[in-house]
Amino acid sequence: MLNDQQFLGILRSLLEKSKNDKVHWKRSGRRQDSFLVAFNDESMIVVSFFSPPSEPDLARAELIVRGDSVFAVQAEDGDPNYLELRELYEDAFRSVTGWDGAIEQIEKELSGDGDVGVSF
Amino acid sequence: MKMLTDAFMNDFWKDALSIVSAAGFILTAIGVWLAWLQMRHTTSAAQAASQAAISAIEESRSQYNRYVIAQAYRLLTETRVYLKNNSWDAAAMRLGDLADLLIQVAGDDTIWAELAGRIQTMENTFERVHRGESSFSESLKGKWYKLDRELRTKIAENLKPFNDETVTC
Repeated sequence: MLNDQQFLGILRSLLEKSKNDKVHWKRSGRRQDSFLVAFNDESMIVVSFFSPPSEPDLARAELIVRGDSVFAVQAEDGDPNYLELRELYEDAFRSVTGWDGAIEQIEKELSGDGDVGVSF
Repeated sequence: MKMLTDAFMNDFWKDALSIVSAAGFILTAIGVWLAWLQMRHTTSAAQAASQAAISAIEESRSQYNRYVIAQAYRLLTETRVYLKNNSWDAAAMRLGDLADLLIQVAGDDTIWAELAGRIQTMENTFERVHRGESSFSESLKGKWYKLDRELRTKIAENLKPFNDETVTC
């Protein structure tokens, strides 16, 4: 039976690969603040982030196999695993939105001598 | 001998009767006018009484709402003191009282209703912090400061002198 530590170990490996841009993250259709990575055996890992107005922020990772949620870990801001889960979510966000590439491009254009901005 | 075709009254009586009829008509018209005046007076008196009753109710409601909001301000201040001393259970209790109080003035005001809902959730969160199930993390601190600021602004708006909002809130 899968336990928290095993699943967190899997998530750490996923984070390492994600940081090297080796994970094909997709935005989850269920929620705006959710990203998923699908595997060949119809399983997927979904990472989500929640920020309710009067409760602590919450990060969650869930293992789904053929549509069934089989395991999940979640942590509130302040919990021991929160930062790891949050980091995984942030990296999935970076990968899907491509904001790091955009920043790189902006910095490149700003450091050049030419005009900046595309005319429409 | 008097013939059937002879006039019933002579000219004098005819004129006299006409004058009496005209006078009667004038008196009737005056009577109608006086009745209309009386009716108008009665209606405006009833309207004035009704308006005065409405004004009295509104004034009472306004006074009550001002009292409730002043109490809310006191409870919010106490909550802040408890939080400063890390007394989560006492802070949660004060927030519960504050939410109950604000629900009374919420009425149709969606901002009060929304704030009361957030206060209730924050109360549960502080209870969880007290039980050690959650922590007063930086993100939660930020959310509390935001709620506190919004509440203070709304309370200050309603405690302004000559503020009409307290009548309807």
